[in-house]
Amino acid sequence: MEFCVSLRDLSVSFGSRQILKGVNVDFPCRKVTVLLGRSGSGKTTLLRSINRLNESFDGYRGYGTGRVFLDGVLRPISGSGSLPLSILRRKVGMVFQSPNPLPLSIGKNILLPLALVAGKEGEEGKDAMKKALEEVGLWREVSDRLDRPASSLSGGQQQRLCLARALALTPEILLLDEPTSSLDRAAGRRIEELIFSLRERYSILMVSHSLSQAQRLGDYFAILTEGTLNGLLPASELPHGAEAETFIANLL
Amino acid sequence: MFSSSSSPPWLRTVSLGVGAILASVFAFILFSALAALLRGVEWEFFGAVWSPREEKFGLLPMIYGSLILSFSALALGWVLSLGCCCTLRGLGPRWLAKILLTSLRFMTAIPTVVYGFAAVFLLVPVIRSAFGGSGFSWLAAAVMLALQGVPAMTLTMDGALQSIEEQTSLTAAALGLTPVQHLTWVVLPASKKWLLSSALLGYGRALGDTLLPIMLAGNAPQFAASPLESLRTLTAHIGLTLSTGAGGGERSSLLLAGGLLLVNSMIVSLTARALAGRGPAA
Repeated sequence: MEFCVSLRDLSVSFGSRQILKGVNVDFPCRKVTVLLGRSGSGKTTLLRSINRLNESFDGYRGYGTGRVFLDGVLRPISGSGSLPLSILRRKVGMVFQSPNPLPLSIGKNILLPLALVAGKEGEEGKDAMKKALEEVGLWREVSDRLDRPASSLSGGQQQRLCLARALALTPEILLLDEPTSSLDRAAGRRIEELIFSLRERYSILMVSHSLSQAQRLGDYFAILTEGTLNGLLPASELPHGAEAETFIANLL
Repeated sequence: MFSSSSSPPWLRTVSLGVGAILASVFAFILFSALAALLRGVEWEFFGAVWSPREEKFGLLPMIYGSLILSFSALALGWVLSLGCCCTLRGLGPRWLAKILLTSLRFMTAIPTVVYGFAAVFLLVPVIRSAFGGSGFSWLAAAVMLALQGVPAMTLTMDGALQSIEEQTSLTAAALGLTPVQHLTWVVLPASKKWLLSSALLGYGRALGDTLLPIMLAGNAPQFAASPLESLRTLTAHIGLTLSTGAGGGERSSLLLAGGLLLVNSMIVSLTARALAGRGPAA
């Protein structure tokens, strides 16, 4: 099995609090892997250790090794031989729990990172923006108001904008941190459909708070228990129907 | 009418009393200014000559002086404040930001007279030896007014920048933006209204300051054409004329000067409030 991220003995702590305790796991390429676990089990920290976002927080200390498979090469996430931080984060896109458009216009939310991080400006940038907005089904809704503030969009639209913003930077891996938890049911379903449609082109690591959502989307499941994780569970090994929920709940 | 309010009656009485006192002060200044304007047509209050001996009480040089001094001090001070803010928000090294923040907080506690005093002995001689003249000039007053305004403007700007930075830093980092790109392309554009509102605050303060212009600007009631020339502001004019005893046309002209300053401050303050009320673009 090809893998997109490989973590060995990964431990992360903030100040005196240890969040991840020696995690060993290989996440498969071009599959949806759903991270499950109780609150505080380290799901978000695990995601953020892949794009080095944990380093943005005070008191961060990390041990162990992590490697990512990007541009056909397996490289360390940090240290010698790693990609520059801005390129790593461009190649490993992230969508957060709550929609977080920048306090700019709808268009600028995508055009600005495209120009600054990917060097795509002018027509090239606009084409990439249109493609990304079409990919998340938002182009027809916003094409005539790209200069309006992104905050004028509904929550679901904002989350699709954030997904489009990440996709515009042509990532290979997508980190989705409970992307539907702050949305209403219909908007959440829309995002789920999108994730489903992206599964064959991107390697997706997703934190989910919902077991039924995990079952609908996941090819693999990673169960985190108090900062530890060992191996993955393929969807084929899950019991069917309601039993699956009980099965996973027992593992948490 | 206060049935929905839970505040005790004495508190409401005190607040109404204070409000009424403030309103009466404003009303007094505005009505006096209006009365002076109506009565003193022959004194040519908006004339270009101030010469009490010739019964000419023209305020135009002082209005001009106030405006050019506050705008020049603002232009200089605003740019300095923006620079300080960017240093505080990560463009400079951390140790420099710490020193700067401590200095700015310390500067807010320094009495204006100390700024004036220091400038008389440090800045004015430098201007005198470098450019000639007495050194007491538009330039000396503008530099010191700018410096005096920097702490308030910087701390106001920084409050807005910090709040937007906190809201957006993780998103920007996750997109691969560097902290400098984040500040330049996201935080500053999103803080436009606050940057403008801090400029209005700086302008209001520069316009209202009396001591620095009196001590440093030379106080000649003339239209200064160069930063090295002397000028007199409305505030300095009120201070100087009152201290030498004023009656008749002089007194009326001072009331009008006070009214003009009050109206200007009200416009600035209301505009700043309207801008701040709308807040940074969310």
